Formats: sequence, C-alpha cells, structure tokens
Amino acid sequence: MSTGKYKWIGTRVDRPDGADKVTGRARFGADFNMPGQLIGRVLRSPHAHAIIKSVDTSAAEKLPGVKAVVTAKDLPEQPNVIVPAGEMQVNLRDITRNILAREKVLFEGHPIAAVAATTDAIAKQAVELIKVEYEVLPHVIDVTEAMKPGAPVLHDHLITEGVKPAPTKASNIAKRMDNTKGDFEAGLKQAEIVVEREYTTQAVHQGYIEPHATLASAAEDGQVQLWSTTQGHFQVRGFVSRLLGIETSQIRVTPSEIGGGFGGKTVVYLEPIAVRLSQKSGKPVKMVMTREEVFRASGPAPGGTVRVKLGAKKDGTIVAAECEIALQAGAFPGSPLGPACWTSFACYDIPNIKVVGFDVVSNRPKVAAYRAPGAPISAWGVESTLDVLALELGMDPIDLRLKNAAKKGTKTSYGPTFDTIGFVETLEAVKKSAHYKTPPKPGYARGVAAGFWFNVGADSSAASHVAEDGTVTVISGNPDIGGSRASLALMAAEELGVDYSKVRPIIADTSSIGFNFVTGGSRVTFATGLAVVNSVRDMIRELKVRAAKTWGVDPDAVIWEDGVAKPAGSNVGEFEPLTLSQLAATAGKTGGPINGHAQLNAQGAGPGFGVHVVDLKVDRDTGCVHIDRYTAAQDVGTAIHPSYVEGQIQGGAVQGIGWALNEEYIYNAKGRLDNAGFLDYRMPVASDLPMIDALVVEVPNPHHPYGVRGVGEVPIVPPLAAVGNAVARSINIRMTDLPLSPPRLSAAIDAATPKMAAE
Amino acid sequence: MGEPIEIVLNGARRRLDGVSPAMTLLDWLRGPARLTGTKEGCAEGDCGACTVLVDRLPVNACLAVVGQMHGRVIHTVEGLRGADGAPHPVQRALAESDGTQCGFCTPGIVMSAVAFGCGGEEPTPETIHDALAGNLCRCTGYRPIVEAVARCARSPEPLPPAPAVPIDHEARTFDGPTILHAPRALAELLRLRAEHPDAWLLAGGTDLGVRVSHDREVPGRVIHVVGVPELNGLAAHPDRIEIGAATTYQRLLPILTNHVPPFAEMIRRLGSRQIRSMGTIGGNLGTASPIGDTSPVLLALGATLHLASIRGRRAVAIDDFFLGYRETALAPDEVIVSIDMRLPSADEIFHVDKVSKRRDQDISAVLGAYKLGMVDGIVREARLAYGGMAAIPARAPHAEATLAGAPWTEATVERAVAALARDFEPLDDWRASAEYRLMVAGNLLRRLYLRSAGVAAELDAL
Repeated sequence: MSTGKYKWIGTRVDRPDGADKVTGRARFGADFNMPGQLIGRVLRSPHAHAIIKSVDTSAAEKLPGVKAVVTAKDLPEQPNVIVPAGEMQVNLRDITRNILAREKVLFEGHPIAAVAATTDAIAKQAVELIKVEYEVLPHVIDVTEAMKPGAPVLHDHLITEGVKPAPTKASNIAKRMDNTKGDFEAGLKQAEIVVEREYTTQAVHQGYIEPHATLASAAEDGQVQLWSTTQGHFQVRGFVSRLLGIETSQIRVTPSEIGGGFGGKTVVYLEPIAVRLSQKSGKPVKMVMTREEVFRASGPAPGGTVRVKLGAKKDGTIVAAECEIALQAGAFPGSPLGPACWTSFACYDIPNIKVVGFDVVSNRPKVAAYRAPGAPISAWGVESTLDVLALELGMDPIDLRLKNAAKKGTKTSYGPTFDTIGFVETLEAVKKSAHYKTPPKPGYARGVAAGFWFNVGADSSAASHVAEDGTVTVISGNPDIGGSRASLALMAAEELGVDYSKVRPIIADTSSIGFNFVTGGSRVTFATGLAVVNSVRDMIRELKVRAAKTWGVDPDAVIWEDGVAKPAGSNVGEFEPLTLSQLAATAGKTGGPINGHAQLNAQGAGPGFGVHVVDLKVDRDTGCVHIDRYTAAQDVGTAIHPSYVEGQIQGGAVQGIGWALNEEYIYNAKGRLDNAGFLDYRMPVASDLPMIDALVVEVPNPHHPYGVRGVGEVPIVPPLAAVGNAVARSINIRMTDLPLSPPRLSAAIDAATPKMAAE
Repeated sequence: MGEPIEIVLNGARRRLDGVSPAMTLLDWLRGPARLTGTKEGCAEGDCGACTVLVDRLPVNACLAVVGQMHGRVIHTVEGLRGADGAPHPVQRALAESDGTQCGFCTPGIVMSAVAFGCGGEEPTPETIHDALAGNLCRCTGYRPIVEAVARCARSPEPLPPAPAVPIDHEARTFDGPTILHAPRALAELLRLRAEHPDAWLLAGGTDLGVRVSHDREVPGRVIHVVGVPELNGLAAHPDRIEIGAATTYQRLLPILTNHVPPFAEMIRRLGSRQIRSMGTIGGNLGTASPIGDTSPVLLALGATLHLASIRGRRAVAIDDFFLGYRETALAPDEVIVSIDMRLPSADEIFHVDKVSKRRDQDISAVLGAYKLGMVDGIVREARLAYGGMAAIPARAPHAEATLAGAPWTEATVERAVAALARDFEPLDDWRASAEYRLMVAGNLLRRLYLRSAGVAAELDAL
C-alpha cells in the first residue's frame, strides 16, 4: 500500500517481537517466577446470588504450607466513585466487591477469599477448607427478566440514573441513556416505508488464549513489584494503589507479553489479591487463572436486546431511525451502553434519530470491554434491519448504504460532526471488488453489513534515546497487542530518516516512562504513535543543537534530513553532514546524552468504517453453516505496517464470525454457566473459515502526521449482521437471535417448513 | 520400589528423579524442566497451546502424564534450533508470514506445523486445516498461519537427533504420590488389574488426562496399558479388521481409510491430531461415554469385543457391552484386549454422520452410523446406531424393525424417521436440545436415502 511518499511507513518489515514468539522465548504472564514464591488460589461462589452469612478461614490458615489467607476484610472499603477502565468505566465501590465479595455473592464464580501456599496442591486444599455460610437468594440471568418488576434485585441501593423524576425504588436498571437528533416521530411521518425488528444477542467471551496471570512481590519497606499480563500496566498500578491504599509511585508494574486481551485485560481481578497475599505472607505470590475461572469470572462482553425501527423513502433515503438497546452489565453497573448507543447509526446521515439505552445488572460476571465494546450488538440490530429494508425496496445493499452514508460534515446523533472519513470510499471499494462483482457460487447466498468505531486518543508518553553507537531506542508504555511496537518503530525510523533496523522499540514498566492510558480504543498507533513522533522530533531538535555546536553555528541554521544534520543553506557554511553515529560519538563534548521526550493527550482520533461481504450456505438438514468467501474492507487512514493492519482486520472478522455462529454463554436453571471451557465454548478453528480477504482503504486522518486511524476494533462490528444477512438470504428466514448455531437454525427452518404426514 | 522415568528431551536423555508419574508433561516442562515456551491455555486438550512432539507426533502436553512418556522422544519449541543456531524453517515462516500476533498460541502452532512438515504430506487446504484443527488462535483469523504452514510443508529440516543409547522398554513401576505400573505383557496386566481393580486403566489419557490436568485429581494407582503387545495388534482380513484395544486413532486411520472410508472420515473429525496421536479405540469404548464417537460405528458394524482377566478370556458382542450411563459389561478385573470389526460388504449400505457445531475438534450433537443389508432393493437387515441420543450409545430398534424387510424407498424412510422418536429420548443439554438431536437424526436418515439414490452428493460437501 506504500504510495512512495514514505520510506518506511507502508512497508512489511519483520516485527521486533517475532523471533521471541516463534521460539518460545517470549515471556507471558504465567512465565514469570521468583525464588521462594507462593501460589495463590481463589475460593469462588457456587451460587449465582446469595448473602454471605459468614466466612471461616481458620481451618485453611492452620493447614501446613498455607502462608496467607485474604477475604474482603483485607481490602479497605471504597467510595462510590466512577473511574475509567479502558474504554469502559467502573465504580470503585463495585470493583472492590467484584475482586472479593462482601455482603453478597452476585454471580457463580464470584471470588470470596484467596490463599497463598507453598504449592498449588496445598493452595487448592486450603481453598476447600474455607467454610462459607450462604443464604441463597433467587437469581436472574436474562436482561429482559431482570428489568421486569418483581425480578430479584441485586443491589438495594441501585436507583436508575437518567430518569426524571428519579425512581424511589431500587431496581436492576442502573441507567437510562437517551440521545437524539432531529425529531424521530416527525421524521417517521415522512416515511413511505417503515420496517421494525427486535433482536437478541448472548454474552460472548474475548477468548484470549492466555489466562490472566500475575506475580506480586511486596517488600518490607512498602514497595511493591508486580508482573502482569495486562493491556494497561498503568491501570493495574492505579487500581492496586486505590484498592489497597498504597501510594502509586511505590508500585512498579512490568507488563509481560500479552497473550491476547481484546479489551478483557483492561481491568484487574488477581493483582490486588496477589499484592495483599504477598504483604501478609512476606513472600512473592503468583496467581494464574484456570480457563474455567476465565470464563466464569473475568468480564465477557454483554448480551442484550435491540429493537430497531427505520423509516425511508422509496428511493432508499432514510428519514427516521430509532434504536432501543438493553445491555447486560453483569453483577455491577457499567455495560458499554454509551458506545452501543452512539455507534448505532453513526455510519449514516439520517436527519431524525432516537436512541434509548438501558444498562441492566443481572447475576452474571461483570462485563468488560471486548473489541469495539457495545458496537457489534447495536450493529447487529441496525445492519440486519437495513437488510430487511434493502430487500423490501429491492435495492442493492451497498447502494442503500451509499445513499445514506455519513460523510465529512455529517452530524452524529451523539454530538460531534465528522471531519474527513472514508465510509463512502470503503463502500465503493467493496462495490468494485472482485468478490462483489462475482455472484456467489450456486447454493450460496451473500450478506453485507457495515460497522463503525470512534477510535480514541487519550494520554500517552514516549521517550527516544540515541545510544553511544548512534542506534535508537524508542520507549513507550503500552502493551503491544496488535503489532504496535513495529508501527511505532516504523514511524520513528521515518521521522529520523534512519534504517528501521536501527530503531528498537521497548515497552517500559510504570516506573520507567510517564503515564500511558490502556492499550484500547485502537489508540496506540495513533496516540502513542503521536507521542513517539513528538519524542523523536524533540530528539531531532537536540541533534540539531549538537550539530550546531559542532559547527559553531546557530541551531536554526541546521536541518535534519535523511538521517543526517545538514546546514540549512550555503550561507551557513560548508560542512559535511553529521550522521547519528557521529553525533552520538561526540555527544559527551556537546552536552551529554541525546534524548527526546514527549507527553500528550491526543485529540483528533479518526473514526473508522468497515464493510464486510460474506458468501455462505446453510445445510438445511443439520443447520450447519459453511462460509465460502469473506471480504472485509476498511478505511484505515494510513496502513503503517500493512500486514498487521490486514491481520487486525482478519482477526476481528473471525471473532465476529464466531460471535455470529456459535459463541455464547449458556446458563442453566441454577444460574451456573454450563460451557465454561473451550470444549463447549466453540471458537472458530482454521477449518471453519475461508481465507479472509482484507481490503485496505486509505483515507488519511488529517489529525495525525502520518494519517493514522485506529484499526483493531472496527472489524468485529460488521460480521454479526453480515453473516445474519447472508443466512436470511440463504434460507429466506430473518434470524433475529444470536448465535446462529445449528440447533437454532434447524429449529427456524423446521418451523418454516410445511409439515408432511409420515405416511 | 519405583524406578526413574527416562525420556529423550530435545535430543538429550533426561532422568525425571523425584517426579510423580501422574504429573502432567506440561507441568513438568514448565516447572522442573524450566521450559516455559510450551503454554497452558485450557488444560483440557482443546486449545493446543501446549502442543509438543512425542515420537514426532503432535501431543497435548497437558493431557499426558510423565509416567506415559518413559522411553519416548519429546521435542518442544525450544528444541527446534538447528545445528547452525538458526531457527527452524517453520519458525521463520511463521514470523515472516505474520502468523504470530500475540504469540501465545504460536509455540503450539509451530509444533503442529513441524509435525505436519515432517509427515511429508501434500499441503492442501484440507490437510492443513486438519493439521491445525487442534490449535486455537484468536488473533490472526488463521490466514497467515495457513499460508506459513503451506510454505513449509514437506519440510526436509531434521529435528535434533535422538541419542545413540536407547532407553529400555522393560516393564516398570514408577512412584511418587501416585504409583504407575507399565506392564509389558498381557499376563502381567491381568494380574495387576486383578490386584488393583480400582486403579485407573490408562491408555492414551485423552479422557483421564483431563481429570489430572483440569480437575487436578491425583490418582492413587494407574495401570498404563499401551506397552502390552497383545493390546497393540492391528490386522486387516478380507472381511474384518482386528484392532488391539490400545491402538491409537493415528495408527488406525490408514487402515480404515483403505477399508471403511466413512469410519476413517469420522475419526479424522473425532479429535485433533494431538488427540489422535494418543487416544485409543479401546479407551473410547472403556469410558463408555454416551457421546463417544467410535461406539455407534462399532454398534452398526456389529463388532465383537475380546475381553480378558486372570479368570480367562471371553468375547462379548458390542450390543451387550453398554449397560448404562458410563457402565459396561467389563468386570472389575477385566480389560478390553481387542475389537473384531466385520467390514461392510459391497451389497451393504454403510455410512457415518457426525454433526457438531464446529466441523473439527468438537463433541457430536448426533453421531449416526448405519449399515443396511440390501437384496434387490429390499432392506434385509438394518443396524442404526447413535451417539448423543441416549444415556448410552444405542441402536434404534423401532426404526430398524421398520426398515427390515421393507423396500428402500422414501416412504419407508419416512416411517423409520417417525419410529426414531419411539427409540430415543435424546440428551437435552447445552450442546444441543433433544428436539434438535431427534430432528437431525431423522434428517440424516433421509439424507442416507438420498445419498444411496445418488441425489445428495452436493449435500456431502458440508
């Protein structure tokens, strides 16, 4: 995709972490060990909802080999204060209860106590010795059920926010959110055709292959060291500091390589417990979740209900759009309701929009972010309903979207007006693609859907150092979950005009670089990239000062070009250009080490749009779906490293395909999760998929020096509806409930088939 | 007195002193051996992050216990470096194709790809998908991995050689907290079984290994049967195949491919290569799971099981083997020695269907196996057997009776489909509803008819 404009940007260089990862040398969360470490294990609730009447840890404490036991009593009470957690928000009062239950257990798997022992076997035995007396309460799992009057109420203090006048009674509805543009009711009156459908989705898990893991070492002087697999080690530091009352700078968190996060590793579960166990025992404590614990007690993405109503003219112009969304927050308030509401119609320029959302608690694990949190759920509703409209109007689904596409200047329902965006370009790229121009194979049907994600900026810090030999280290503070190290190094090499191989990107711990917001929101290549560019520019400014000193000229008379310092013009004097290594060699004489620094709150993240096309068929006898071809197009701004951009698009599309077809949390009547393992939580394997084609569209973001837009989240937004729309066109049944698993598709096909007598 | 376990690890002999034979290979590698390149993602053989090579075959290290590994040649991701210090071509290809993103699944994928390369297979989408069916990747969408594996198929790169001194294969007893017996003769196995009827009878460990790895059970005593020659026979006769109970799916597959292709196709989907390297047909029968995939096939084929104990030997028809949920006709002192499987003849219709959410590496919602003896378009004898439809793998007597003696027509099939509802009250769980299982079983019977009438070929593509 390189336009020739750049030397390094747009090239497919080797990733700096590649060799370590293919040889097994890369160290992930569970690969850290310390001499004398203890193993920590957690006691979890078997009940979905119960009052904790008592917790007796005495037998566990007496077991030889047990060095510490903690319960909620070991964590200070927290104020009712909301703080950011990645792209979502959490309440400190709630999060301490999510980490260790206090008055009640609110979901199966809710932690109650933890032990640290000399071996895993002893820790397991000790956990079994803890006696908990429960008063089991009625539970509620489903969102619709949880919203009904008379449903078991999880929190006696929970009064619905966003409703005037405020309700007087506690309920499970934590919040109501409204956002509107124009006048929906008036707009609907102009419509010549109105379509309306209701949809549901089930909770799904991010499915990172690496379970949560941490190693904590608390010293006698109060200093704490933590190694953790996380998308945000600064957030780990912040949470541990707040939840345990330790001064922030006393905590040093080093991120491991991260074995997938997708939003799920932006919050803390084990870290505060491990630190407290280490403080109590005086020894390092390692904790690793089992896969079952990951499913039962980390934060999945919510399921929910979506109702969509669209009013349009016969030419396809949409004049009014309504969306009502209710999302599972899990045991505590805080689903990704805002993004679900705001993204719902963001792809389209519609004059009259009404969006209403509800954040609903139920007896499930507290949800966490998952790639474009909330957006796939509203897109499932909106993009499916658009397909209904396209079919009723007899319009090509791309043309319908082009007719209504948001462009520069379109005002969104949630406030901002778009600057330069590439939705139209992406739709047109799909229309011109070989895939779209070729009809599906006989027996196959085609589905199309679009998706949007804001992308974010936020806080980043970066530093650049010139080493003694003139090579460069670029230091940032965001765990690399999608190839960001390579992208940052490419931008640094481009700025400096030096070979990519001379730039080594490093992810520093919390004590070695300034604050960085989490790796999330598709922000790192954009925001931290901006910080890296600025730090390199700061270093170049210093390099020019050193060259000026060497030459005895004014720093303004020096320019930096193609990796060397040059005189700005012939009037400055005749000087041979100075390379990085030459300037590094004389640095001691010209002012000492040559470094650059930058810190910023990045503004102007460029929104991203994607359009996906899928060809599939449904086996009417078994309900199994076979995908023959899949193309995912997306405006990425500028593809800094095209292979990683394609990798993000392909990976996101496949997670969306899993969400569409088979992935779901299945609860039984007791409120317990039946499929807490990869055996029964069915993520796609290679044979479930065709070779996904990524179609990269580049409409540069005007607010970034290299035009970067976030890439990683958009591709999970369209697949749910793209698959659903293809299924609808394949079997002539509009499926409204995810996942489109074989049993569900079979039942729908059977219900729609006229019955023949057996004789 | 226990003896030391010895293995060959990455080209060097290793003695595992003071290690319990029931420790998983994964725990040993990541713990005492300090080889953390091999990862734990699920501890139950689903994700493949722990894939290592055992005698050049891919194996889930989480499901194998070290007592099973005595005398075997093991390679991990750390052991692939060539003599010149360069990475293995598979490692290079994965890095260059961007087949690694987060990198956590990568060591397992590397090992699966190395096994595929060493196996010398033709790289087609089907063979590559099969080679990767036991490896989950959540980042890449698999495309760059599939491309990398294709690039280094038929890789000539040798693995580090095994040392010159072979490890002996005498009968052994290993102990730690667990005592593991590894007999080398049937008589010894039967004596041990009679003495220890409560011991775990361990074959491949793809089922019992989950109890060790995932459930963290510590068995008191284990009898590991795979070293007994009588349990390892494999012989094809013109009309039947004799299969030793400890025959792995991997060993069985070529012979089934030649003689009973529908059975072979099902075995390919029963589990990943990692599972097929270790899992055995006798183990699958012995656990008597209602969703064990080989049982219905053997029921349809009317197999005979040869059992033995110190009291003597006996043959049991498979129809009489499954008594109740996870309950069989095996006496406490008895073991399965071999399975005698009659091959379908040319005038018999034989087919196997496996229906699951995912094509590969998934538990069956319905496993249907059918054998119909045909004479002039009349069904002479019908054997229809199912997994997932009852508490035990079971035949469908009413449907079979409907078919027997009737012309093989659409109307007959519809009557048999209706009769299935009288034969079964299927399992109703998170994997599939009872209605779904029954509906699919009926649809598959209809499809069997259409297929035999030559009109369902296009349906088989799924």
